[in-house]
Amino acid sequence: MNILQDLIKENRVWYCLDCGKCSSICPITRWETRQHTGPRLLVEKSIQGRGDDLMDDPLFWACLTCKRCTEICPSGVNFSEFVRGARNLARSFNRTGDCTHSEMIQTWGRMMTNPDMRQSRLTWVREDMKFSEDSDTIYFVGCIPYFDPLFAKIGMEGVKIAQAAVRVMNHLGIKPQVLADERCCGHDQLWEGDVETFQALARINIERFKATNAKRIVTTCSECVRTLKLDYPQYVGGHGMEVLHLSELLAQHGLSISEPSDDLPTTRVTYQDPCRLGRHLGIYDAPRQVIEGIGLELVEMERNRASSQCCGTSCWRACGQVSKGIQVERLQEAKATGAETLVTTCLKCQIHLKCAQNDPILGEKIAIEIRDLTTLVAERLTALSTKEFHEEVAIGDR
Amino acid sequence: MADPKIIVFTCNWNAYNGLETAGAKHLGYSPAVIPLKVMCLGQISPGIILKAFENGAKGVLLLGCPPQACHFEFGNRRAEEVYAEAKSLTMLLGYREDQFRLDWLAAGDGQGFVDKVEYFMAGLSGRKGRS
Amino acid sequence: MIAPVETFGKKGALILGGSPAGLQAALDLADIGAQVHLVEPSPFIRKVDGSHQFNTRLLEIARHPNIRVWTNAWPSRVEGKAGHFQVEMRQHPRFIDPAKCTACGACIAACPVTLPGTGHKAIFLDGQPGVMAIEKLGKPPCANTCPGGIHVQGYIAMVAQGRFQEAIDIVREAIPFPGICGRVCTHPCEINCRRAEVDQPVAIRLLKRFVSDWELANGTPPKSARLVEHLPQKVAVVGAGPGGMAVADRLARLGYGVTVFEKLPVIGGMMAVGIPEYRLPRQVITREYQHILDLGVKIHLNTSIGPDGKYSLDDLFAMGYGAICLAVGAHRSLSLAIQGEEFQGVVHGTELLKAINLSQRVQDSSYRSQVEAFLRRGSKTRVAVLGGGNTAMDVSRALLRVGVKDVRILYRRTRNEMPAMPEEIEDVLLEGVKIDFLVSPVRVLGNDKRGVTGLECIRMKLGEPDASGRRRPVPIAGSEFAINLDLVVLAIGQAPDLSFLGSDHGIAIRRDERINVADPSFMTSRPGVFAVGDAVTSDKMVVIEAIGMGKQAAASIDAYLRSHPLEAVVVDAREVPIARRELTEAEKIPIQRASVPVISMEERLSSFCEVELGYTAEQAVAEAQRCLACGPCSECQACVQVCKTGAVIHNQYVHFNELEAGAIIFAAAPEQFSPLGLTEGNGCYRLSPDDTLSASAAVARAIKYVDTSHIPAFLSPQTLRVDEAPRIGIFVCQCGGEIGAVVDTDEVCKRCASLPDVVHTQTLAFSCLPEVAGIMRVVIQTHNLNRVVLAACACCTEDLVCDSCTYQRLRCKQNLGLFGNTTAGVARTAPLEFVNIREQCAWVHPANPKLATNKAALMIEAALAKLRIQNARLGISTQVDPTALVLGKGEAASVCKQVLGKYDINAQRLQGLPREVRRVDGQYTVFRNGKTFQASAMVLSPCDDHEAALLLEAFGRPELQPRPQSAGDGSETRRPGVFFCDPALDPQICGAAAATRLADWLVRVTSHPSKTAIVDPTRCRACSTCVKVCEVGAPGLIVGDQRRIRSWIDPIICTGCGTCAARCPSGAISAGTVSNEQLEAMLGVILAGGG
Repeated sequence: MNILQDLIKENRVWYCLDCGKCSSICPITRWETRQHTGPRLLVEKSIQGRGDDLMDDPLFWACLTCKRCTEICPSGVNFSEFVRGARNLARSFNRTGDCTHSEMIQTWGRMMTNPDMRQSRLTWVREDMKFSEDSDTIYFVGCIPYFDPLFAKIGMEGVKIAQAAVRVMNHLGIKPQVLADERCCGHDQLWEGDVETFQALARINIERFKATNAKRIVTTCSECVRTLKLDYPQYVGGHGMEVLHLSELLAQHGLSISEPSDDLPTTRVTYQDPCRLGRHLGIYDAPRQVIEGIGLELVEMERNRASSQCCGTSCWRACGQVSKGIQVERLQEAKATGAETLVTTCLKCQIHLKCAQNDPILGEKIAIEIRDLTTLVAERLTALSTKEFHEEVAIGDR
Repeated sequence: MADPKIIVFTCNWNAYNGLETAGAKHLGYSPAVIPLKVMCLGQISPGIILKAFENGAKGVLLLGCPPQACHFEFGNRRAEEVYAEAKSLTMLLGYREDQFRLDWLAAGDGQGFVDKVEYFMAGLSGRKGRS
Repeated sequence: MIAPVETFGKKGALILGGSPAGLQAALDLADIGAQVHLVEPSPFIRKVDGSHQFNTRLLEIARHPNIRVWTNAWPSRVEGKAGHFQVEMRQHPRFIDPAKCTACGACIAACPVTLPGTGHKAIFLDGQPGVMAIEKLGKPPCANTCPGGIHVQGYIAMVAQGRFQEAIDIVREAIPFPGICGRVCTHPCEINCRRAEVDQPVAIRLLKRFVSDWELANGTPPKSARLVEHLPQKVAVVGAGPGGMAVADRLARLGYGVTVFEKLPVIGGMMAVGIPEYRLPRQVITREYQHILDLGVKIHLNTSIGPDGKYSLDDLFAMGYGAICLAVGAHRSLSLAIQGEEFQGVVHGTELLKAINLSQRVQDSSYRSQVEAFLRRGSKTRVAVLGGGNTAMDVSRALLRVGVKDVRILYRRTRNEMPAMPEEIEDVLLEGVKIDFLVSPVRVLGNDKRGVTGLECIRMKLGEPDASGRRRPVPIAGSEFAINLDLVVLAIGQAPDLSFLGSDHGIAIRRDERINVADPSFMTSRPGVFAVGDAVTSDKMVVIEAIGMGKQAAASIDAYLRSHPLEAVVVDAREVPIARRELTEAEKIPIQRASVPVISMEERLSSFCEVELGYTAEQAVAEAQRCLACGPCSECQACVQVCKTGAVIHNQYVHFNELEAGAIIFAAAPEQFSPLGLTEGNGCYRLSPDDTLSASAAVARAIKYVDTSHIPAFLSPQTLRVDEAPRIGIFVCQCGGEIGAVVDTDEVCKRCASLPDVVHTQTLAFSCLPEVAGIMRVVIQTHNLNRVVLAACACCTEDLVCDSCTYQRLRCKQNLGLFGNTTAGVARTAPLEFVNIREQCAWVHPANPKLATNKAALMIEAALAKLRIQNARLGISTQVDPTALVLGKGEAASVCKQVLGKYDINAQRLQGLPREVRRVDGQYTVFRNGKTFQASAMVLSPCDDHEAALLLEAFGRPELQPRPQSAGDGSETRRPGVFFCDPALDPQICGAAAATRLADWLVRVTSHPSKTAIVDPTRCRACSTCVKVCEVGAPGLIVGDQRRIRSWIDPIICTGCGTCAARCPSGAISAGTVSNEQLEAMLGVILAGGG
């Protein structure tokens, strides 16, 4: 299998020393009880050219590509990228991982590759929000509107995040533009090996971007940031725009609230580093600055920053007991900090962790409020700003 | 490209009986209508609906048991929940209101099946029949 | 005849009445292991208020291995006592083979008879079993008396419908002479016609004449059904009369070479020389004989047989005739044996008629001079005709027509005793002949020189009846008187003239000068020589009788030539009752018989033109519509001709079966009870037809008298060959054209054959016949198929009967062994899928065959896609302990507990209120002050509504509370295995009923495959979504391996709706029936499929 060989070369898989550090910290490996597995083992299987074994391995589809292993690998094996490539290879043998949510998320992703579709994805926009056709900033909303119908029932913030994002940018004096026919960024497709769909989506998005005279793209989704920033150029071609996570933008503007208000007592929060924003892009400080900037007390979980723990599921595939275990553990870790709120900068983290909280038996043991940084910021700003802004937000939140 | 098709999901009970009665009574309707039977309409997941549209269905009609007459007592209420979820997705994806509907059909109501299907198709082609 | 004692249902239960209560009792008993005879007096168990659940119920019963359904049946005798009832069951035939009828309805369309009152046809379908039944009480009196064996009511019904061709075909099927019989038949049918009870009989003879006239004018010429290959043997027939020709006709149709030898210069025998032309035009005879000649029969005229004739019998045998049939008739008139009979001027009626009739047609002038010789004084000749039969009438009317003015008939009895047909007597008088009744000749007056001068007569009076049943005439002393006459015609009967045989012919002759023949073979004492007609019977025959006899003789000649035993020729001896049904009021309203138009009197008297003109089409239809449809089935055989599966069996007979039963449950109409002579109680229980609750209660009382050892077996897992590389077979049913007419089944096969892994495709004329299932099995084995699709009308292969099921679908599934414990099932070897291309293609897209065909192919392809990812679990049923908990303070609770004991169910009663009730480890678990109680099922028996509410609340959130099912009698609840006793009802009844239902449920879960959804633990996130969506409480969170919490779905109570599977976020649950993956695959195929 030459192609597997290429992947092995490209991702330095040859250099594996069999030290097994990866397996020791791999979240999946720790929870996978059906059979002995681990990144090291997958590497071994592939180096020995046992392609089928590789693809049959539960870890192969469950791997969160969280880069934790890459992080500590002494020989710098790019395990995550290797898996990504190998999954693409697996597709050519019609192999895919188990789907979740009756595959609807993958399905709408594929549907979005149709250039003629006319979405109605801006229903979340409210009167008070200020946009500008020729703004130099695009707010890339991503899948938020699509997740709403699915996950509102588990308390996911959904479009509230988008609404908050626009209000916050308006507060900074930025009137962004939002694209009515924006497509899913294609992150999940890329990482589950469906490069074809990813490229189709990316091309359409890039085309849309270029049609504007914007200079930068801001998103509230860590996966979008990584995908637009790194993967578009690599797989489809550059779009020549700066890509920022909203938290970076806020950090740039040095958003800070001097005098804490009385009706919003300083709350103690902890922060979940999304793998994409953290290990993939190395953005650890910006969100933390913003958290402190809005007058919240940040307490770190035991495992944070580069050694942070993933939310337990990726690409809407291979979810189950293992993911649940990872999530419960992480939630308990968050609870152990004594924080009242777990803040993330990735919608997926919020969804997965909130889903895990749906466990009637564990109940209180893992109960902790989970918020997106964006809505927290908007909330704090609201408290400080004029009355009518307050109402508008109220309207905004329906 | 295949000619446009309408997928009609029926539950195995009242709705399917209506479909069968239409047949038994030789009541004609468009061959574009392709029925698919499930044990209960509650068995349809939103993913299946999207799949139908992804594969090029012109419309998807869900037919279940009348309120209070569900064979499983609660399946048609679950179907309503799924419908709501799938509905907002199809709307987001830009499909028209008319292209995806949930309705019920009483056992033995063959004419009802034909009427509902024709009404649905009228909606698809923009021309509304009686409701 | 009595069938042997049934082993099925011995010590079982007899349930009388296909009412809701009867059905409930039948199912209850059958489920708990009793064998049940369910008896319905009518041919169908009808849906009450057409509810579809009821239909499902009927089919559940039809498929139940422990239930034998009897329709059209009722006990004719019941004896014995509880535990040992002996029942004689009278089974009235259905005349339909329920294994073959496809309910296509072609027969209904073809049937000419609409039942008075009901409005449906004589063949009809109205409930279950969903196969036709024929309403036939017996033979219609008309057909029953017809010596020619014509389906009389049949062709009348056809005429009434204006279906004249079919009418004539029915007549021709029975006799070769419709035209002749239509004119001269003495129509015993009319004499027996029931219409006479209302007004006058239906004019059957004239209707027959009408159809034969119609045939001549517009009909397709009668198909000469000569067999293609001729048989080598030849048969000689002596005598070209109706009897002889009937023999010739039948034998020729059977393929024999037949030669007829006729002494006379004309064909027709007595029909030609005895019956005057004005009654039977000669061309009618010629025409109908021609049809027989067309079959290859040869007739030699002027050819007498016998020592003095052209050939002797020995000659004929020598000439290679394998058999000879003598049909020489009776041409020798009987004499009066009175003084002066030898005088010239005394003539025999037949002689005179022969002369007159022949003088009309043959060129030989001798006949005309004979006539002139008889009529010495020409038109002034004074004639007296002696006799009261048809010959006397014919002679007198013939004489008028040759110009004689003074013709009188002398008869020694009164008009009532006259053997002649009433209408003949009418015409005679009408035409001016005088009839002197009660007058008998004493001697002929005259002398050898002048011949007859007159006749001395004596007046008579009627005395005691004689052998013939007619009153014997007695002379009145001293009443003698004389009449002056020139011609005396003796018309007092004929005898055969057997002199032609000569001596030592080896044929036994009876004392009454008739040929002695064996009954019923008609063979004479000389092997190979047969005889029919007047030559063998002493009572005067008529045409139709001669034909009937000829047909029978032909049959035995055939047998003789095949050297089969002649006795075997006897027609089925089982006597069929003569139909006699209650007439409706509407039928009792008189309708005038259509009078037939005749020619004018001048024409009549001045010529031999046919008197009757016959009916017009309108008159004929109107007249035929007077028929009362006595059958009511007319046996026209139209249904037989249109039925493609040969499901119609007209010759079925009432059957009696001996049954044994332990208990009897009566659930039919109340008035039907007393005639049975049963006493209520002790093994015999009475129900009101709609009271299903009492039915279940009665079952509880009945079981102590019945054997409940026939418990349906637990179903072990079936291993399907789903792992092998697919070898796919596709069968496409044409449903005898119902599908084939619209969907191009060959095209469908062609398209499917091109699909991957398809190794066999085949069309089937019908798929729901047992033999076809056999064929499919063989094909599956020979081609080693491991996946099969049948495209027909059936729509699911589940072990399930649903609201949409039909008798045929059920039968198809049964034939293929798709139900329960059948081991021979096709689906046991290869996964099977059904596609309904009849109700979903052929019947709904008739205007669009191309698209319908395309759609059919697509649906099959979709079914294939489903099959390709068929999972292997099939036919696994769950096992449960026979335990129950009875909750509540209701009176019914104790009744229930005690009845449960009868069913060997270990029941525990809990009086106090439970804190919580929940399914744990597949059992209903009650938590009550620190203790837990578990059982497989439970009964709630509250003492009042308040306690009821509290009991329900113990089950948790409202959706989970076991409220009574929306359909049903309140004893079954929405929670499987939880039963309810309504405190408002009689505790004896609802307590026992609940116990019975609970017992049934326990058996059903072990004998029916579970359709439960299944959780993949590794994909389960224990998010409890399934627990929230399900309202029967099947899913629950448990502690699984590595002490991880997961969801588990209780297979005992899961109803297989699949809702949980649809909602599980991580896709950990797969539904019990079609899986998500399968649905996706089907969608993919359907929507990719091109036009």
